[in-house]
Amino acid sequence: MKKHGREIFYYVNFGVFFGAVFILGLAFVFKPKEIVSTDEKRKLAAFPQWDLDSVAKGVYMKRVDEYIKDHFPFRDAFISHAFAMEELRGWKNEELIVFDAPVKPKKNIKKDKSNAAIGADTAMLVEEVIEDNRGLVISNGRAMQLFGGNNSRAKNYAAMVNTYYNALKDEGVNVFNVVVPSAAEFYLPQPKYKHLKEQEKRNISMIYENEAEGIKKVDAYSKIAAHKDEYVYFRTDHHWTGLGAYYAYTAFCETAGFDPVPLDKMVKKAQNKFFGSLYFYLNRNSTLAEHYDTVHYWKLPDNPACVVYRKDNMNKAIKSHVIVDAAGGYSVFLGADYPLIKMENGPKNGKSIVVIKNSYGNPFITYLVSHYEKVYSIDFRYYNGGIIDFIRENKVTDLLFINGSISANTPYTSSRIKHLMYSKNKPKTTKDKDTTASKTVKDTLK
Amino acid sequence: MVFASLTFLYFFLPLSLLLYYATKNFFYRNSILTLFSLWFYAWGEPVWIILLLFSAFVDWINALIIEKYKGTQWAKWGLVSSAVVNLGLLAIFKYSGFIYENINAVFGLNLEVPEFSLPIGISFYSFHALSYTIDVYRGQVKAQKSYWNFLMCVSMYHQLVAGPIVRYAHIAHEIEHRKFNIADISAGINRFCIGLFKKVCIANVAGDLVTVFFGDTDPATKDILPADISQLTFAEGWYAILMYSIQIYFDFSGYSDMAIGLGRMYGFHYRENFIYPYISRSATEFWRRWHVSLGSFFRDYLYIPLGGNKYKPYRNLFIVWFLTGLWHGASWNFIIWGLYFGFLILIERLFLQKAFDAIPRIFSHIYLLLVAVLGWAIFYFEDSLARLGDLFRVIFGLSGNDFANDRFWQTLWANFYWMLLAFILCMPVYTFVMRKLKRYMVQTQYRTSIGTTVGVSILAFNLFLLYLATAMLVAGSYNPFIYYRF
Repeated sequence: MKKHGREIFYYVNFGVFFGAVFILGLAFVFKPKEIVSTDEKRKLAAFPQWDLDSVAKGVYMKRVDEYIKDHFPFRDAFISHAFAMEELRGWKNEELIVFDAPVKPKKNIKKDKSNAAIGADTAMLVEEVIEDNRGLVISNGRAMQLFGGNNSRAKNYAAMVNTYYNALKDEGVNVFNVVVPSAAEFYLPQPKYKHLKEQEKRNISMIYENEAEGIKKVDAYSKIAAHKDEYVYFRTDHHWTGLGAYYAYTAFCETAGFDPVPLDKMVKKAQNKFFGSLYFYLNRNSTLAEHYDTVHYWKLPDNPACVVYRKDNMNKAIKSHVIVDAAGGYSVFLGADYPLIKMENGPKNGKSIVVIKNSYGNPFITYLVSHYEKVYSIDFRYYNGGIIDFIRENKVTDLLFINGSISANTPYTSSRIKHLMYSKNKPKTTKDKDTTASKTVKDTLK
Repeated sequence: MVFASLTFLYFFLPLSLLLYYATKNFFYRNSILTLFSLWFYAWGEPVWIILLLFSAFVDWINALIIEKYKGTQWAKWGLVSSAVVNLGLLAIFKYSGFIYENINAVFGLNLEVPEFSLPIGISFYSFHALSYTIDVYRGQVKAQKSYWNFLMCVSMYHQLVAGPIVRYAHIAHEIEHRKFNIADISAGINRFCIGLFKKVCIANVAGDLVTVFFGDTDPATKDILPADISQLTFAEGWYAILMYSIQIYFDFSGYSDMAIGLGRMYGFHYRENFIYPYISRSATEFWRRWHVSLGSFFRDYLYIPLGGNKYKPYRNLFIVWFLTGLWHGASWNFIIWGLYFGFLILIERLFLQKAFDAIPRIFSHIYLLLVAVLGWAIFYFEDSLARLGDLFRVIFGLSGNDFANDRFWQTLWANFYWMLLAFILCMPVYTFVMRKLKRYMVQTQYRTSIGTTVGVSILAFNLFLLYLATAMLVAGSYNPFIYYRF
């Protein structure tokens, strides 16, 4: 290069590099900031409030750094490129095992003050759930959580259900229990995982065997196992599908003495291209991307109305429906994980049921409205009131617990539900600035 | 603040450089650089910035005294007070906990162990400042009249928190005689991008792989979540320390590259700090290539004054390597690590070097890689020597564990190309290609077109590296949950 040419190169090099830096920096400043990431299922960092203490401790600066990262322009594109490059670092076997612990829990689960408004319960739950599965396996285009339960946890869960049963048996309340196996039980590659074969089956039996005789045990396992070649679990999500829940529902009907509503008496709907929680959790794994899911769901012709209560204002009933098409993905079932949902437009038969559940129960509950005049769905993670009182006040006839096997084997689940039995907490109503944030959260979800 | 962060790349750097070059006035430029450096430091260490200002002030005053009373007792006292203050601060903040613990252990006492948080960069800037007063005492450099200028040299953010240990003497002239030089800026950008790539795309990745096998410390709670080292398979043990060797080299040398590059953008020329240490053929050579600014500091200010090779060389060697180890951290494993290298250097001097000279070079390469990698194992296990023992049992096949397991093969293959790249980049490929190219350019008639191609490639390459690093830094904020967390 001639001297002149070199000089030009230097200026161009300077201009291009700092041009790129300036443009992205300015784009950050002017870009509208989002509040949540639905992919990651979390709130994005908010710009921190200034105070002397947080500056002196350096917390403020860390929060600013997080804010910049969470709202960087083209964040989604950068992230997916980074993961695409990650897959170029080498090659992966057909089967991928992700060893979670102890690497994952380092992420701000424990001390996330920005999430303080949610309450410690949720944070604790996430932590427990991460502890209680033994890593994730991807095989045949399906992601599965490895089951980490054991006998003592199974007994613990059974004991919790027994406590409810004993408290209510004199009042004639029927107590049902449904424990749902996870996808790993049916789809782990054999013979490699033969040591894990049927371990959930044994665990669920252990729960049922340790329960009082009068408790009505629903054998969801056999029904699902009989249909395991159908689309009963999502490939990219940790939940079961509407169809899987339907088979569990038929098992429930057998136990309870109902005639299940045939699927063809309902309106079948589908939403294509559902990328579930495990897909995002596994850094948008490309194998899973190729095997994205379709959400099939069945709607009663009149799609019964219900009222939902949000955790930020338990005094306000919001009108909704059992199926919420617009919520999309797994949220079509009941719309979201509301602490309390009242479905009170069923057949006038005087029957009513309280379902104690987390998100696993959502599709299952949508089928119950055909058999009960009143169905109350209580999400034990978010609901704060006393459950026994609720049952008495509403003269409820039936009580049903539904949990996935992993959740049933998580100590938090048993202790939390037990804690709610006679809880004297008034349902929380917060009217501080967080309300606006949650509103936007929900709006974004819909 | 750290270089490999979005805050630095997209806000701090462009803003500081823009303001810096806004005028040609040296007072203004130096002031901007100082203020930005203090901001940079305060971002990670808001309180102990006082210590930095104080330390710089003491050394500035002492140097003036030393120069004014040259040849008298006062000059000596100036030097002593500077050494006492710098090393004293280091002792208090870095080593007091360690000293107390050992006193307790030796005498069976139960003294309360003081808990100071280690101010960022104190090991680097106290050495920088100390080298200055010693040089003034020796008459090798003139004392700086202006505190403001001296503060700039000590606090200059390029080298403040992780080296290289720049010496005042090397940049004294540039304090007031820097020119805007676009060639420097351009070269600085190239160097910075390479450093950024080394840190974000190699060191950070290697670091994640290390934690897969060795476990991790929870940054929020400081809980140690260690893996059980004794359960590792043979292959995992070796793989993990190999990855740690990759991590520490690319982390540290990447940082030095960025520092040198940034320095050039502002018109300063720092010396090389890493010269492909893993291609060395002896521990002696390794330390001439690894963290050069530290090695030369100990050589010039400790080893030679103690008598060097001429007077009690073995004692000198022991002192230097004991302190080199200790400088890296207040823990016995660092001291062992330092002495380990001292010992290797000693036996090389006594006979090993001669033996290696007599056999093919490949053996000395293997020897160095082996001792360096084992050295990093000693370096890694700061928390417990028992875990180090576990690791040694694993990698020397004494644990009775399996040779390899699924996790090893999966990790190995999933990162195989990346690993090859990292290995290649430990060798002077870039230097080699550039040298060949330059030689070729002199004699070819296609000089202009090749020059243009190279220029455009460098441009595109810089942008590519910036993009890679940005994508990975942004992805670092990706924190998905299986359950909703609102």
